[in-house]
Amino acid sequence: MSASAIWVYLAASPLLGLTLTLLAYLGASAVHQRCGGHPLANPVLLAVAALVGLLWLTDTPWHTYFDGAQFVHFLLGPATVALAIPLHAQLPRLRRMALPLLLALLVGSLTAALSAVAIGALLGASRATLLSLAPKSVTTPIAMGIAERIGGLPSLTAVLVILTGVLGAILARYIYRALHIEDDAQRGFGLGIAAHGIGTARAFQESEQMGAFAALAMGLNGLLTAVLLPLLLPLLLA
Amino acid sequence: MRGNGHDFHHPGYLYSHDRQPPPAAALTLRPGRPGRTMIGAITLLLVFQLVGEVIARGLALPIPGPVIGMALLFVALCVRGGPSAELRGTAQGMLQHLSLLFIPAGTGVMLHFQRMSDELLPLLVSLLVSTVVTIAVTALVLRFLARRSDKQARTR
Repeated sequence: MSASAIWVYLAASPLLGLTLTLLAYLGASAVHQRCGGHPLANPVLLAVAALVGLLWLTDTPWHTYFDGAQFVHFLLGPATVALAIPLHAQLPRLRRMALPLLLALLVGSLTAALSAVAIGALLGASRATLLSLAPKSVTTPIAMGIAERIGGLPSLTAVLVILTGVLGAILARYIYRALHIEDDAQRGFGLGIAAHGIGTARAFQESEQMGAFAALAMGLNGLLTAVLLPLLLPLLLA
Repeated sequence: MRGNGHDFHHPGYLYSHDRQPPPAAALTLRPGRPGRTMIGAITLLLVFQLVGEVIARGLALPIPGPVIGMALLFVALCVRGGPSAELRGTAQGMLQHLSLLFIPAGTGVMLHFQRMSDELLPLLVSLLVSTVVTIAVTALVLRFLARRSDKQARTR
């Protein structure tokens, strides 16, 4: 079999895209560990950069890659459902802190969406970009659903969500240090509201409790934003 | 191949009578209850997602299906008193590698290079400022309220 015939097979089958995604993730995780878990060496950022570079160099269309990678992408759905389990594990704390958590959720959720849209509008972003930007703090599958619902571009939203997550995961440590916020429940909740799953992954590295509160914040923010944004945005961007 | 006319890809191959019996060690791996396995746990997650999806679309709700699935599973766990060991293990394994699941969507950046370079300034400033402000505001509000409720609890 000639090299080009092999390439024709690989380009048509999901095997290559799927394998490359996993290899990129393992490589990025290894680099992340080598750097002592430094937030700047974010595994998502590293893996995406490597894959985009590779696709660009080999002139491979994105859809060819995604045909394989969509199997990984699909797992976001069941992973979202699975968030119910760490959430349930926090039930006693949840009951005790219910009111403060719900109020912080409401303020944080509105701040995340409205500040992004307001700043974008002020600096002259287009309407489609603004609508894609609004759910940027919500975990990817929910954010893409919201973007579709309100008339944004779901695939642009996915990118903005991931950039937000990476930014939050990198910056949280410095923000909390500057504001002297030391309680892991508060640290995790803030990071989970602003930076969803990527922030949660980061929070789990710091401590179990910080991770659980980030997961809680991510889940609640997903629910609340999915309800609020389709109702609020048409009023704001009329 | 194998002289019995069975194609390797034909499902019948799995049931052909001339197949060698499995080695004794494999027999000890016989599962107990099929629901109490990783496959059972994954099936459960998918069923909740499916029900969530049907409810979201059936009632034309603005909430994505997996979120409704998550809410339903949360309620189910509250009623049942907690997840099975298998479900907890499967969920843990999945959430441990949550970062992996964002990678395919992240590569979508390729499709939006043009728009993103056209609107680089509003996007960059908006993402940066909004993320910093959201983290700070949320954590500060929670700290303020937690201190207040602690004080109330002490004076009571």
